[in-house]
Amino acid sequence: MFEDISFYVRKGEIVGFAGLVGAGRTETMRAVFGLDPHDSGVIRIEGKETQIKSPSDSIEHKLVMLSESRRDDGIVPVRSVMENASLASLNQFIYGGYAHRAKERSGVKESFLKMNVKTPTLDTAISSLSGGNQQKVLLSRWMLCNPDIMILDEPTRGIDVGAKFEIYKLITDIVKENKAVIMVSSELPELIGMCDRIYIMCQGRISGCISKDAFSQETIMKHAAGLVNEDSSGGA
Amino acid sequence: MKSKTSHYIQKLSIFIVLIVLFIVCSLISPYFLQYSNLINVTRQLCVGILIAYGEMLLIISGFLDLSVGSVLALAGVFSVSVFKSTQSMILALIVALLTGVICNIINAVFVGHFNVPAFIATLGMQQAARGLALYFTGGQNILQLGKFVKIGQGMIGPIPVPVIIVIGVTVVIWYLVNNTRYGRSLYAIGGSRPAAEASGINAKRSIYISYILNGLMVGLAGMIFMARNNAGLPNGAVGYEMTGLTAAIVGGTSFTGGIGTVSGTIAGAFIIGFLENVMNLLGVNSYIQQIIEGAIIVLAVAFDVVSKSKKSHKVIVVKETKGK
Repeated sequence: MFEDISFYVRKGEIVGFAGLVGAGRTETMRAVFGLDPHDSGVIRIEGKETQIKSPSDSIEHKLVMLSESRRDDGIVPVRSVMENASLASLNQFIYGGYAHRAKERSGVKESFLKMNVKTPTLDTAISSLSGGNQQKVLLSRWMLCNPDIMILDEPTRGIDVGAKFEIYKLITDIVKENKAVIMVSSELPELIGMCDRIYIMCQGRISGCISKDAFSQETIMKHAAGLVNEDSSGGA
Repeated sequence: MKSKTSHYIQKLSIFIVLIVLFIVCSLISPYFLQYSNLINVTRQLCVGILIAYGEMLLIISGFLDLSVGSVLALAGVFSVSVFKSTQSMILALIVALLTGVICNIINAVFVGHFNVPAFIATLGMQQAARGLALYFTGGQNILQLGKFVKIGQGMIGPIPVPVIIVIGVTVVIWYLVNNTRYGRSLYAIGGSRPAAEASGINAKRSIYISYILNGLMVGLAGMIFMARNNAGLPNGAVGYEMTGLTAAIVGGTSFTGGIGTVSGTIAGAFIIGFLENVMNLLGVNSYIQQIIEGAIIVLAVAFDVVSKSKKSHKVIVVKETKGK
């Protein structure tokens, strides 16, 4: 449940979403992405009002989301890493009446190189990869959609330290390509290290938005716990 | 490289089993290799393969259809009836296909829209369709089909008519599964429906398409079945859904979803078909045959489940460090 949510994100910017478990961040993002229905609200992309009723609408409008739980609704465990990677961009590989398999293999291979995915072969089942590599395959999936806006919901959850930092670097590279990134995370150091601005949600509402110069774990936690309920964007 | 060869061996294993079975069957029964027997098996296999394709599409995506036998009979008796009144094969065909499709659209509404488990929804249809077939015919077989039998007993040149139909259907199904986004979506939905939907796949639409395709094939199978039996049998094809499921699963379609191939399913249908045939030729009591068929499907699924759990065992490598 969430209410009265208004936020914006710019190209080349990473915007964080902090909050306690149950604050409504994932619910909000699922609604934005079109996975769940919403009662009211408007999404504007580059100023234009955009109708999003399903994930395929979003993807069409170059808005993608890396889901919170790769085990629940991220990976298709029994299928290969290649099929997992191309799943959201099938239009690019299956068209004109047939499947362009060579194009699919080379496209996915190229994306895996960029994301540094470690896999024995393209046909290896994704379930046999480490959590970090699975996450990179999913990042490949979304990057293959050529998105302008990426929502990342807990992108480094359950991932070993080495892969974590790889993913941070990948996210910064993505942002350098002038994409807009929204990052939901429960790890305050992660948010503080990566983001330009951080929205904080508390009990289904946005309780504040702080900019880089006002970042502190204390400020974020105060907003998250509902002890502060107004914009404290500091010197912005 | 070692994993690549074992990968290929695993893919080929079902065909190896098929060839071995064929050899064993020809050895244990002198009648097996006779031309008349092989032609008969092939005609019977046509019904089996069509049903197996439908179950394959559904099982891959995480569903199934228990109403196949009943809908096949319903479509068959409607079709035969229409032919007797109109002498039009085309009308008979349309009626058979429509019956199969309508029954399966009803299945799809419950399964895809109301999220009723496919097991229950199609079990209900199994009962209802059979009831309707019996009601429509008053429980009586429809005899004297005239030219209708050609679709099951006829030949075009040296090839039986149903074989030509099945070859055509095979090409279409193979194309749909391997060269369309619909086909790819089946594997994703069966592997993880939430992941598929989060990737922009319209699962409901794929479910409808699968049940409709299943309905078309069941309708066709109904016509061929009645034609081969020289009668519209409202009580015919009881339990055929089990044969279809068994064929698909023996052919490598995983019951848990997300895995399966057209060629594997064909091999599975052949294996079941040969087994049934050789048991008949050896005069095995039909009740014993039923026991054996029951055992086969349980063993096939057990094998499937066990081989999957072996793959998921993680290998822990302990590195020994020699002391400093």
